[in-house]
Amino acid sequence: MLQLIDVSKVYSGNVVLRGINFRLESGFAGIYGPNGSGKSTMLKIIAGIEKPDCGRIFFEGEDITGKSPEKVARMGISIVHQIPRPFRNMSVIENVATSFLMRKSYREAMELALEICEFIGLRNKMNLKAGLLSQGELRLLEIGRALATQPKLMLLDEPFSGLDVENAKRVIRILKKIKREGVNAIVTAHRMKLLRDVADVSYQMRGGRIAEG
Amino acid sequence: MVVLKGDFAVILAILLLPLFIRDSFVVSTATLAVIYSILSLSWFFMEKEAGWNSLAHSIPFGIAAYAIAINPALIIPAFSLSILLFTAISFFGRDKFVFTSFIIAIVLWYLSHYITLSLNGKVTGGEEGFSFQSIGLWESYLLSSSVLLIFFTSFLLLRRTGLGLKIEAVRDDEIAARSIGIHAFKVRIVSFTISVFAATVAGICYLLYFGHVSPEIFSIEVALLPFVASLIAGNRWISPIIGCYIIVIVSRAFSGILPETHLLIYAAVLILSPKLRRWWNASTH
Repeated sequence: MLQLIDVSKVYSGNVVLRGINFRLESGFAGIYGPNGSGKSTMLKIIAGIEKPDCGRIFFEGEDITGKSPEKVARMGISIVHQIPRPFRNMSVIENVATSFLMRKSYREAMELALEICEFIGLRNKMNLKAGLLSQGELRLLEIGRALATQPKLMLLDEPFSGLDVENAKRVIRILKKIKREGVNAIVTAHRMKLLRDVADVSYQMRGGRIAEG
Repeated sequence: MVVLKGDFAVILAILLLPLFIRDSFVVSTATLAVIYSILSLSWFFMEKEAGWNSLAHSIPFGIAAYAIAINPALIIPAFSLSILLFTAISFFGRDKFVFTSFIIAIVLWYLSHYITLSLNGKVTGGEEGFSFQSIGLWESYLLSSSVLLIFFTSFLLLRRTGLGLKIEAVRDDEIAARSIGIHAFKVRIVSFTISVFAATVAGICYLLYFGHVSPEIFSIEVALLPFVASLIAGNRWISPIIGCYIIVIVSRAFSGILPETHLLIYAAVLILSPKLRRWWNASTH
C-alpha cells in the first residue's frame, strides 16, 4: 500500500530524516520515538505538506513524491495534525462536512457529517464553533475530519499528545473503531505504551532513522 | 437565521423608503449609497468570507467604469484584468495583501490621469475623464437596488453551499484545507472572481448613474470607503450597507456647511479602527 524508499530531509543543515525505508501493506503501524526524531516530518512528507530532499514515496503503486497535499488527499491519504488545525469560525458539523465535499454534494456532506459527529462523540456539540472546543474535543474533531475524506490510509501525528488520560482513552476507542472499519493507519507517539492498544506493528524512530521495534 | 431574516427586512425597508418619499434629492442620495453599498459588500465578502483584506476594491470598480465608458466591449478584458491583478498581489501573502493592493490602487489612480483617447482628432480622457449615456435617476436607483438585493441574498446563500464552506475553510487554515483535498488556489481565484464581479457591477452602476467617470473613481477615498463603511456599523453582512448609508447621508447633509464631511468620518474611523475591530469582533462572538 505505502512504501518509502530512501527518503531524506534536511532543515537548514539539520538532518531530520536519514534515508528512511518503510513499508506498510495494511493495518495499523505505530511509530514511536522522542521529540525531534523525525516522526512528524515523515508523516508530513507522505501527506505532501513537506517535500523530501531525496527518495521516493509510492502509494498503491503510484509515485506520490512531491505531490501537493490536495492531490495526496484525493488519492486517499488523510492526516491528523499534531497540533489540531480546525476551521475555527465554522461549526463542528461544518468542519466535518467540508471534508466530504471532495466527493459529495453539500446536502449529502451535511448528512454524512452528522454520522461522523456521532461516531466521534461530538454530536451534542456539532453546532458549536470549532474554536470553542477543548483540546481533547479538537483532537476528536481532527480525527473526524480526516475520516470524512473517506481515506484508505490515515496518518495520525501524535493523536494523544496534550490529552489527559480520559481523552486519550476516548481517542484510543475511536482508533479501534476506525481499525474495525478497515481503514489503514500510521500512528505516531512519544512512547510505545500508547501505541500498544492500536498498532499491529511498531517501529522505533531515533535521529531520523527508523527500525522495527 | 432569524438575525439574517431581520437584516434582510431592514435592507428591504431601506431600499423601499425612497419609493414612498419620491424626492429627487433623497433618491439621488440613496442611489449613491446603494452603489457604494454594492462595492462595500464585494469588499466585505473578500474580507470576511475569503479572509483577504483589501484596500483596492477601487481597482475593479474603476476599471469597469472606465472600460464601459471607453468601449463596452472592453468589460470582459477589464474584469479579467482585475482578477489577474488581485491574484498577482495575493502571491505576496495575506499579510502583505492589504498594503500591496493599496499601493497598486494608488498607482492606478495616478496612471488614470493619463488615460486619453483620440477620436476624430478630438482628445478625451485625462483629468476630465470620459462621458457615457446615463440612464436617469429612477432607473439608476431601481437597477442598483435590485443589484444590491441580489448580491446580498447571493452572499448569504453562498454560505450554505459547498463552495461557501470551502472558501471559509481556506480562509481559516489553508494547510488544513489542502489536507482534506481542497484546491486552495482554485478556491482563492473563485473568491476573487466573485468579489471582483460584484465590484465590477458596482462600477457599471456608477457609470450608468453619473454618465461620467474620472480618475477620482480610483481615489484613496474610494479605496478606503468599503473598509471605513464596514467598520462604522459592525461585523455583519448588513454592516457595510448601513455604513455606506451613514457616510453618504452625513456627507450630503453637511455638504452646504462643511464640504468633504466624509473625510472627517474617515479620519475618525481610521484612528479608532483597532478599537472598533476588537469591539465588533467581541460583539459577534
